[in-house]
Amino acid sequence: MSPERPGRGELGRALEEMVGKDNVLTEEVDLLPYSADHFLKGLQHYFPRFRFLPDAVVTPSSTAQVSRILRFASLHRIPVIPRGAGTSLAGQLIPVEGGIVMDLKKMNRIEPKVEDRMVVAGPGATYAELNRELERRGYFFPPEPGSAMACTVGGMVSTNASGSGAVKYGATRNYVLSLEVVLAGGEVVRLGRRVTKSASGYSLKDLFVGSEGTLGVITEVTLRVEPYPPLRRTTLAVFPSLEDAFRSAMEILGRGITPASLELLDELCLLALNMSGFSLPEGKGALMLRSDGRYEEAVGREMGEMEEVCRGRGAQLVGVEDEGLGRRLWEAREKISASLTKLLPSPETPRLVFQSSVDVGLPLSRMLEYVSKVKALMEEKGIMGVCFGHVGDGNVHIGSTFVPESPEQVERARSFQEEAIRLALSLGGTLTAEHGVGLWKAPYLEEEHGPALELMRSLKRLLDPQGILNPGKMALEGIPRVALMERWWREG
Amino acid sequence: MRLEELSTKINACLSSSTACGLCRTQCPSLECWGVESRTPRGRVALCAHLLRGDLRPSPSLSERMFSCTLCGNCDSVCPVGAGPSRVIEAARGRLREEGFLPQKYRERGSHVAREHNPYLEPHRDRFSWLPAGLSLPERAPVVYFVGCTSSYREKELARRTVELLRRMGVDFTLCGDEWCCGSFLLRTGQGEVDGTGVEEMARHNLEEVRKRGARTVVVSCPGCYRAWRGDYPGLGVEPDFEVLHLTQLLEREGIRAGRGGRIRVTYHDPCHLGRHMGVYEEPRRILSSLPGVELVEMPRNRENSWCCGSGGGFRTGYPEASRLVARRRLEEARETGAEILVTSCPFCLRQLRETAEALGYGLRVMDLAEFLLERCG
Repeated sequence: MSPERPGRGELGRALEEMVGKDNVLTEEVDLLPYSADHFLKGLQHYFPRFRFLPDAVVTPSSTAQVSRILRFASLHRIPVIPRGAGTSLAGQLIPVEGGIVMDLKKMNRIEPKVEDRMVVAGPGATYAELNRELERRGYFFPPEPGSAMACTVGGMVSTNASGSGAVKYGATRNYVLSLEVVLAGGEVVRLGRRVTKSASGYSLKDLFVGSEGTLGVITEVTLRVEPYPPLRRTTLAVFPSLEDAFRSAMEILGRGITPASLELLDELCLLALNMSGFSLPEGKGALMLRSDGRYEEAVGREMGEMEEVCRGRGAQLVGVEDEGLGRRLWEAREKISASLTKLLPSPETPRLVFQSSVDVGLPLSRMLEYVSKVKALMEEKGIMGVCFGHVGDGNVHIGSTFVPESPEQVERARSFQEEAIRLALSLGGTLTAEHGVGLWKAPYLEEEHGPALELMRSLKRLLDPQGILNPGKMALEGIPRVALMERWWREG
Repeated sequence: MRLEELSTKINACLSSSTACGLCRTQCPSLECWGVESRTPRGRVALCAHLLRGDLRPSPSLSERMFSCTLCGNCDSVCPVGAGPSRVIEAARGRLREEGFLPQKYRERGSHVAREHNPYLEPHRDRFSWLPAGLSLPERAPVVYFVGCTSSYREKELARRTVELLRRMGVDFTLCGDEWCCGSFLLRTGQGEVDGTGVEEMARHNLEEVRKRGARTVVVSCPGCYRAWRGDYPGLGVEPDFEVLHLTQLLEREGIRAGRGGRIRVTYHDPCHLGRHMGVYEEPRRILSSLPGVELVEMPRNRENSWCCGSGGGFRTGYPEASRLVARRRLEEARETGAEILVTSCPFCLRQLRETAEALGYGLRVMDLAEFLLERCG
């Protein structure tokens, strides 16, 4: 029989022995900020009942410390939730069963090995820090998630994060060469080798990419890196209709062009960009195009061809020759959801923009149909929302708004999101292209994976027999009540 | 501003489209402690709990709010304009009302009310830095408002500023009875202490300047500059004369071409002068105009400048952590290859110079006035 789960005081003392007093938090003021992630903060703010305090927060600084903590947690069946910068968008970090939140910020070593075209990093290193170090050496790690400035490498691997660079460069998974992982019982394993190619055995590292902390704690990551393209050009093409923007994107891809980025924006997104200090033409839809490379002629010709396609569908083009301005435009693109918050009607009752709620991935050929149907659904339900995304890789984000004080609006938004997810699945899509499953998409995982979900559950049981690693996520132990947002909202 | 009045800002930060954590990326206290409750986002979340009443005020909560430099770097990266540093400052006020102001700040606050400075020094010593034999007129078009830090802790800076103004031929004088500008009280949530409010202090200083018949007040301390230009109007005290930081006056008056060989310098933006008040270019233009001076920028400059670690009462409350923050800045300065780090704030000067000396960094830290006196003869 396992020893009983210790109380908060006892747990704190035990952890202090393992990592030192300065690396353990047990006071309410320290635990509260760990009770939510990016996604949950707003909900928690409006629905105070939705509050999941961890029993302790621990900030280890070495693999050995992580191992000791997991051995202890395993012995006492205490949940452990690994955490990076808390920018996750699907409730991945919420300690629904209490336990220990393991903040890995202090494990932030960055060791560029550009002679091998790779970099070794601790899970707590931020994407921005990593790329600062790499860019100084002429390289970069390309996935570029929207949270690029804040998110951590460990978090990116755990959610297979990506962003506007994925159309050309792929997602995080494409770069992971090797992982050091501490398993639930405290064993330390190295998965993969620090080589760019390997055909040796099962690719277990890939099992951990996107596993959201449910299979082990990642304590070191080795990533492949790319030479930093010295030339980057951006053009914004504003169209008379969203459909024109879409069809232009498809034609660009159909011509065999793989741009560095190919982003779709709707009318509200354009408004948000203008709120960020730009003076862009008005339109119903837009594409943000980026071309990069080493050779001026190649970059110029690629961009020229993409511009020609857009002009053919009546687009007004805004070329951004200056890299600084281009950078600012891309930064503004990443902040669209935040900018939209400023658009919302009443400052006294700000509505929530559910940026994260819909993050589907679709076959390119079904995207236009999907977006058209979703827009119609928004009209039908009277929902103010936005539609944007990484159209080059079939990834659509849909944000919808509601006034949290209105149960009707809350329910309408919830049912809209659910229908939007199910519509993507019915068109052969995936319920999440880059944000991950966490809590909020757990109810739909079985619809996507069918019997394969049971295989995932078997793997979970094999690697974490006591179910201590980030419990409640990815429907691995069934669907937690809290993830059934419908019930929770009604009772909240 | 009261915390309740900032609820819209708090909502904006915590709405689920945001709470994005961008503010983590430039936070000195996260650098020191590495935990969420000491990030702007974490602190704003705690303020939301406090406002809702599901978190009670406590010494621990107060400690989390005071372990912040109020540098405002979070404000400049926040995509929704939530202004976390304003929220934290307001929370300090609320916690003080509830009886949770840390002792160090309470003691210094009371001293400001009695002796008009937060350094626990007697008011009568305020002008003890004045060079012997210096004669200043009763009335002059310019008043140099010295500030507490230069008056009591960085006296050389005060002397150099006076010397520089004289050499430039500026017709100036000092206040007869200068009081603390109130910045310390405002930043530590003590808008009013023992019956003396910052408004009263502001009115006193305003009257002192008027008595001198001045059309311009020049300050060498960015904390005072922000108080005069940023805070006093909000208290209903509108100066009817111009208030300039020394860097602004110097640029306007023009600096004589300098002497000395080639030298590489970098400029550190004081938070109160740069990010809080938007004065970035004047000191850079002055430095760039000097023959032989090569101005190089640190990677984090202007609105993204990294704090020196002494603001918001941080140095007083957390000396060790404040040195770590300063060290980060000095490392950045060294990487530029600069021989001299120039700043224009007595707090930054003291903090960075002491830390550089303690670490044995071969980097000179100088105030702009000192640098100009050395270069301009």
